[in-house]
Amino acid sequence: MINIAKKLFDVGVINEQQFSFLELVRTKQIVSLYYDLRLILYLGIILFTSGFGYFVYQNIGSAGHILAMFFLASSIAVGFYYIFKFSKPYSNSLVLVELNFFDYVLLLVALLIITLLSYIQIYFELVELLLRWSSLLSTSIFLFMAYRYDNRAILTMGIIALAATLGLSVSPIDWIEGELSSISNLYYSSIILGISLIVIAQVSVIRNVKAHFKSTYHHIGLLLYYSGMVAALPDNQFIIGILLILSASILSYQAWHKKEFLFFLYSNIAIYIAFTFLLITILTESDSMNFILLIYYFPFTLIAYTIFLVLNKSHFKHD
Amino acid sequence: MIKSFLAYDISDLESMHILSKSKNLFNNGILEEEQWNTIKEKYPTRIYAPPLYIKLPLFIISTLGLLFSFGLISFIMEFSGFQIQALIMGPILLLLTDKILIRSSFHFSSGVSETGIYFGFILLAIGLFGESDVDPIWYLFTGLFFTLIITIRYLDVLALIASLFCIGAIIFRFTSILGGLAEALLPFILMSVFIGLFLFSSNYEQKRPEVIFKNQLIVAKSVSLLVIYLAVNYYVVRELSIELMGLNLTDNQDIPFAFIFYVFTLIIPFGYIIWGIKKKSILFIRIGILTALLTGITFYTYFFSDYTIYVITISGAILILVTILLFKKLKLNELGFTSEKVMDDSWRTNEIGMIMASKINDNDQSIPPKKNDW
Repeated sequence: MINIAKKLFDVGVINEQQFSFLELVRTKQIVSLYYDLRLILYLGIILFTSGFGYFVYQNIGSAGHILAMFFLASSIAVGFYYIFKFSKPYSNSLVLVELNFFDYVLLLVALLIITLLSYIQIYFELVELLLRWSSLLSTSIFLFMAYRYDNRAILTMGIIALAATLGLSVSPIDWIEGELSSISNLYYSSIILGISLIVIAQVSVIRNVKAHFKSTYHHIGLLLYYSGMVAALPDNQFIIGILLILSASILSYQAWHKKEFLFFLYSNIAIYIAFTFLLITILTESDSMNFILLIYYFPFTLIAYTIFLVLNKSHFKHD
Repeated sequence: MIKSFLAYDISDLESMHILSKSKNLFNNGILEEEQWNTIKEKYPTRIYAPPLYIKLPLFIISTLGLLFSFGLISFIMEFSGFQIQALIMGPILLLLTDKILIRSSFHFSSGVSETGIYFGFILLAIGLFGESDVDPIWYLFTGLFFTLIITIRYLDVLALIASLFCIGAIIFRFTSILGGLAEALLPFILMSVFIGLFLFSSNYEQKRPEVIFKNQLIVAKSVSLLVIYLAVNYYVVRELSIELMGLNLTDNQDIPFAFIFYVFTLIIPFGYIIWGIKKKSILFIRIGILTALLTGITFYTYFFSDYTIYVITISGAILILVTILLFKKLKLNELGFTSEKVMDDSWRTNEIGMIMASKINDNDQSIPPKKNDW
């Protein structure tokens, strides 16, 4: 196979030291198992926490539950000792810990905390009482760990727990209390949470407080906002539809200028769904047989959009 | 001969590979910005090969657009049957994709080009066969022929995997037709064929210097190693014997010569890992780890399925302990393995690599040439 490093060295683009280093990798004098070991470690954590969580659930009635809770608490304590030992002080900017599996220990401890909390709730029959608060507690713990130890995976878990707090605290509690309330206010929660997360993303950049968390907040915020708005469409077609088209257009324009392809795509999909929904509503409400338009509408719009993306391919190209 | 059949310009492809590798080095801080800019100027390419997060949406949107268009075109061409429509639309679609998207606009695995190619050949196959009642083996041969064309002409990796699947399916169909001893020897025939394919790919990789086939050869070798294992994996052989060959077995009953398959299931993954460590081949190590996991699942299915929770929890704990130990032990092993990231995120390269580079430069001015690429 062609030796790219030698090719670059021969034309004088790279120096001898760089070429020597690259030859080490190419001739396998140094082989890194970094990613393979991390993948196996991640798999081990998922298996262990899943298995242990299910063990807890299955043996909740037997005598060993106190021991199990004690074991969980000890594991969390050992994990935190390790975290405290190797962590760096808090900083508003990116904090990197050189230790290879520090973030996996962090993830393991976070998952064990949730397992222990669930175990305590189920054993002491506190589920109904603490339904509203347990998700909030998980959110607080995750968000604290994410900011203190600078971990995006735990930040994502914290935001999802926050969404669960708003989502699950409404319909299950109403159902338990005997009210057959609709879950329609769930999509309002989704919209409000989505907007809040987008605002937090912008504020974190402006104030330079963990500015690197911006993409996580922005991503989840956009998804929540758009899914909430799309879910709300059947109830208030025209108002929601027009609001969605307007807001998604603004966000799409912003994403275009910042060259953020995924956010641009999300916004375009939201505009397309809203516009198509409004079009079908208008066609349904009018007595005319204009449904034939739809046969042409879908293929032409999809092909036109594909052509648009291909013609503007260089816009999103990152060097 | 293969080069003349390619839809792309060789120099464009080589430049694309050089830019791709160099970009990775720049992102890892091996190259300075000035060097990266120099490489971009020295090796320009006309090829458009977007990253996965752009390619996937493009593929989905263009597929949806094409499917809706078929509906519209069928509506217009209602005078003819679907087979004739497919026979007309298939080649037209292929021609348009090849001439406009690939040859003129230099799309390489852009998502849109794949939609055109895949649907073009699918329509062509429908147009040729329609609802005819031929033996399935002819569909497989046609599938193999088409996927090989796509693999060689468009350097498509998915088509390569499909062609390897077709080879396996053809062997299976042949042995089914022959029956008797041939059917019984199917696992070993499959194993032998894919050992041959693996050796052919390795040999081709060493003899041909072009970097343009690198990804295809890695995939060919990986799939071959996987099929060599799966062909004699006890779970696969047992369940496929029941499903496809109608073998009647109770839950606790073993297939004939079960012991041989149990042994292969156990030793092949460890053989891969040991060979990978000996030859310092990441490919063998990774396939070895994957097949070891599959072996674990196989033995769990037949021996430990009543103890699911314990198996999952204990396996998880063992994996965590083993990897933490390996992280500590493999700081820099004498065999040359390390648990460190060789190319890290900071702007300077990893000290381990630089120390070794300086040691090697002290001992020997010329780096010994090896045939393997990185």
